[in-house]
Amino acid sequence: MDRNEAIDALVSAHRERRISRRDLMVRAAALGIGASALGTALARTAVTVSAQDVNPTPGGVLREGYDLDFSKMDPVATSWYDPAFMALFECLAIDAPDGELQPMLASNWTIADDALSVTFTIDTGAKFHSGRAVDAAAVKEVYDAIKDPANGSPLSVLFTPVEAIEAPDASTLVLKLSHPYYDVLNVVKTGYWAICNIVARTEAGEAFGQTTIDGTGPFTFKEWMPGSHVDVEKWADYPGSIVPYYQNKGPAYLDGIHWEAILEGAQRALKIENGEIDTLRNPLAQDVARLQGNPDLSVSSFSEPSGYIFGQNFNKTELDFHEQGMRQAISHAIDRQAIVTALLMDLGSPLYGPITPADKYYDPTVEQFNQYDPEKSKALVAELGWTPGADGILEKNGQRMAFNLVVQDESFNRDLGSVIQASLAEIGMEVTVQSLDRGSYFGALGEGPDSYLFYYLWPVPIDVVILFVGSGTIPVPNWGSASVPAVDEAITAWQNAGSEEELRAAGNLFQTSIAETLPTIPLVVRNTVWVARPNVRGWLPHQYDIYPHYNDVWLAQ
Amino acid sequence: MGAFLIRRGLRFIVILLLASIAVFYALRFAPGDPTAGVLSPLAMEEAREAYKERLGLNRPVHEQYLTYIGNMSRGDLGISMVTGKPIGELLQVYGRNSLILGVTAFAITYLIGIPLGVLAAAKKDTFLDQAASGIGILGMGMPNYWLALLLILVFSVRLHWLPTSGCCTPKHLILPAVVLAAEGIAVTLRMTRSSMLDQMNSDYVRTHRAKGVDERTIIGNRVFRNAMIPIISLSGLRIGWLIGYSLIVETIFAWPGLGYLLVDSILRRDYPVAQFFALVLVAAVVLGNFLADLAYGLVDPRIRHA
Amino acid sequence: MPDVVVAPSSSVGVVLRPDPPVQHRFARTVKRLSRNKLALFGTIVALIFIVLGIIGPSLAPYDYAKQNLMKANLPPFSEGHLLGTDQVGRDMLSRILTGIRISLVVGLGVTVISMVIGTLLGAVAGYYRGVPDSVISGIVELAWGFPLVLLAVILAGTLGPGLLAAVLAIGLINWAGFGRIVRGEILAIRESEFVLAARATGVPDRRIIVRHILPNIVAPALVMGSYYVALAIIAEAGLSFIGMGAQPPLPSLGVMVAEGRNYMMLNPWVITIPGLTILLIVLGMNMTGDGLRDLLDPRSKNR
Repeated sequence: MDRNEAIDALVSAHRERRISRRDLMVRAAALGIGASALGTALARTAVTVSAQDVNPTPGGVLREGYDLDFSKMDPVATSWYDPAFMALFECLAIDAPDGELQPMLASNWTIADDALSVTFTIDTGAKFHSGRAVDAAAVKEVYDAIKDPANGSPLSVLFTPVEAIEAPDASTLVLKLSHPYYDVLNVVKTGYWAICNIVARTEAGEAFGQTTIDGTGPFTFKEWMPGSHVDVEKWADYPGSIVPYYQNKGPAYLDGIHWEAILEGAQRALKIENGEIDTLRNPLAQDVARLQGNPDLSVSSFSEPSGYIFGQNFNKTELDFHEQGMRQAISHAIDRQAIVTALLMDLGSPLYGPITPADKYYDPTVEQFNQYDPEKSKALVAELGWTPGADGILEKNGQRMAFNLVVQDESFNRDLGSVIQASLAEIGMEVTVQSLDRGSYFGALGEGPDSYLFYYLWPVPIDVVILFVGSGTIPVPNWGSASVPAVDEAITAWQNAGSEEELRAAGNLFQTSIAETLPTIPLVVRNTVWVARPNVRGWLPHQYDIYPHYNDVWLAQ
Repeated sequence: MGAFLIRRGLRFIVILLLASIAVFYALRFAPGDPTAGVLSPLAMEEAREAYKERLGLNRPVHEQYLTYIGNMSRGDLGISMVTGKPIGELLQVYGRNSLILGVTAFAITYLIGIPLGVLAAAKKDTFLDQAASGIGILGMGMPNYWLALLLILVFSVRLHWLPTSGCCTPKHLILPAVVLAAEGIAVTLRMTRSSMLDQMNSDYVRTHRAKGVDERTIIGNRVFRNAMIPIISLSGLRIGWLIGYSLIVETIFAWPGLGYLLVDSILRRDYPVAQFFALVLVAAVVLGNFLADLAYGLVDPRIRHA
Repeated sequence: MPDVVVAPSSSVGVVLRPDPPVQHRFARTVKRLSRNKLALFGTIVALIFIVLGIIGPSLAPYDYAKQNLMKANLPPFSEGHLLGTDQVGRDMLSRILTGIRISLVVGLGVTVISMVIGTLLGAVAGYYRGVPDSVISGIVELAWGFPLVLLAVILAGTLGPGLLAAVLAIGLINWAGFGRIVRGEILAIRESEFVLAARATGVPDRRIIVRHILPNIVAPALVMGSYYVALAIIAEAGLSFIGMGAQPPLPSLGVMVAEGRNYMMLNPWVITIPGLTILLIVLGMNMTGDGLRDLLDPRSKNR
């Protein structure tokens, strides 16, 4: 969709009262559409803002369809965070729809001149559901818990440069850094750094996040039924929020939210078409065009801060996986644009570097690498001494170019695996795809498979890609034991950046070094697609956050 | 009879014990890690170890097993590692859903399968007989996810009569129950037909016929009643099947039942849940067999509970 | 998923039945077969698929694994693709032809495993009764109740995921149904006059089993077998639902339906064609089984 189409789609959605004027402005801003362009588009047609849009009606339960099953709702130790986190918990800061970092539980933050400490002001008057006040000490408890490796915070490694967390007074929280680490701001806004009541967590033990939850969000926990649903209800005593982009600063409008895990792909689109749910995350890509043609639905699609990566095991030296040329040969054999067109129905983009082109740190220089060029692949493998054997499979010193590819079982993963298999067959490589259930898949990754396919999703993609490619995280989660000095240097630069400019420069270095040396091979990124029925207002998924927030959401009659 | 019941009861316990050992060791032998469903795959090794330590998962397996059996024998079924829900509660909620779905599916299977089977037997070797068999096999041969999606397209999307999926009103129940029922129709029909035919060829029916009793009365009373006995026993056997193999229907229709719970707990390596519900499955099979034997024994005096 | 409870002739527990094998079976077989049109039809359908399974792949116009992403999701009768293409642009006709072979091999594999284990254990249980029967019946119930998915996960972990693991998993669970039927048959046969007579004259057990009993369960085993092939095909489709069936690029019919269901709304053919193929095979196999049973089951000779 080019920019004009995007504007027109937004304006017509607004005209049909599917999104409010405010949503329109914010979404336009998120797409980089200025007020003047929007004004021109609006002028083409008379737009009246309905009274409903101005005065939200409280009440009702939002029914949201979700494409995954739910994980434990304990921010400190979970396997993933789901949309309910956005209703139950809050972080110190939040990403606004324009990509700007805005205050949430911290009203303010400053970075010391030497860049060796960050100070947050915790004075918003927020409370936990249990009534405990959110002060610097409460936040310190959470961050200390994250740093404790025994707790199992999934990405606690991102807090490694944070040497100590101090709470000199009730409203001051200081993160002491071992080296400049500007990126820490990108870390604390994510779901794994959401603030929960550690006292309640300690009391509840394993049950925290399962049957007991004590967060600061505008909703309280009601029920979790695995494979079925999560229910939350309005917290009437919510002290309010200071997030600038929220219109509603007080308690939520909704009485509750009901998330349904709709694991059968085709059912998701059918369910919202049928009016059984109000909003939906990720219908199947092949159903999106149909939904877009439905005048009762508004569909938005954003590039996700995610990516599919294809890792080779550097220890497989007999297959030359430790050779840059071999990895480049594999990469050039894959037609990413064709994958995006055929499998993602153009709801995605090719990845020539490690992160999505929509990310704010994206460096387009990566596009000069990894273009589809099977002839170049053949030349590269020939350079390494591989020649086609009798059956067409490459051979070198009696070693056949045959290896396993481990994927987690899911329909797109399987298709992607089979496309890689077919693409590499073209250049004489024999790939055996092994599609495994989740438990077996991570078991296999831990054992260092020949090669693997992995899908990551994280609000700050570089932060998590680092873990798959840096030699410091061998063997988990650098399952392929990738080790490339240039990449390691870029990682150090990123982690030591003391300012936004340094961070951006390090990010560019990181991307180009990966695009060239391929510690893991980037493939494609898919879009997140969000669908809403016309009565849902103030619901604003955007590309800088992986889920919408629910403070502003209300249901029109 | 009393001794027989005691012996069967003991046998039941022994089989359950063996099953518990088999499942317990199988789960631990399966690839992957028990923390996979709880902790992030990116979590530190220390966290995995600490978690296993807390739950006693790194003790020798036989020790874990003894603790487990000890707890079970005291009525402590344990709690789910993933959701923290007590297993008793899971049994109640998911078991209830499974029961509702299963009983409805049974009813539909029999309401279609038995009359068709009677018809097929009464009109043996005619077109009707063959058409009835054809219908039965149709239900069995259609891959159930295909049938499910077709029904959704017709009854939910086109006609808007029924919801596409979800739980747990009567309207939500209809489609999954029909799909689950479809597979059993062929078997029920075949059983009914063949046992009706057996009965109709029996001596007592010949005698009745010779006495000039109306054919309809013969079929309606004696034949049908006797022919139903194997069908009733078959029901006992199908209980286990309904738990073990309803996964697909439950997933497509988002109907949270035991089939989904069992498979999901195996895939997430939620040991306590998987262990318990696998045992429920075995127990259902053993009980079903027991009931079937009892039914046969009661009817056919030639069979001794030797 | 599989209906492991299919039990065509005797179904459950113990059924006593008259003996013994009959003469002139072949002539009567043909006569009966032609009388039962449905069985005849089913047998023809089954035979067609068996022939397709043998020669089909060599008729395939394309390599079943050959992709063309630019030609994905084509409907039937598109240029060069009689049955259209799937989501990665593979020729559906070629995949169906190969899929038929793979699914039949799965069906056959499961049936052979089930038959071997089931017949052996069932025969021992039925003949010796007493303690061996008790033990084996217990194993049967245990196997029957053991979660298929757990076994499939373990086998996939040990052997690598794929058809071999799937076939073994299904076979290692489903033999229980076979064992139960065989046990019932043998319980009946061992009480028959000719076996009793043989035992009275001091013929050793092994000889009785081999000479008198096993030949008598060939017929019911064949009938069961025809149903089992169909059941195994459906069971593999079931495992494919959770990704434990055939692995890419192998096209079993079950995998094609499982993968095609996500494209049901965009291109309904990718699920309809393999779905119909499974349906026809199952139909054919079942009708053949029904026909075989009518032919071979001594009880039905007077029907």
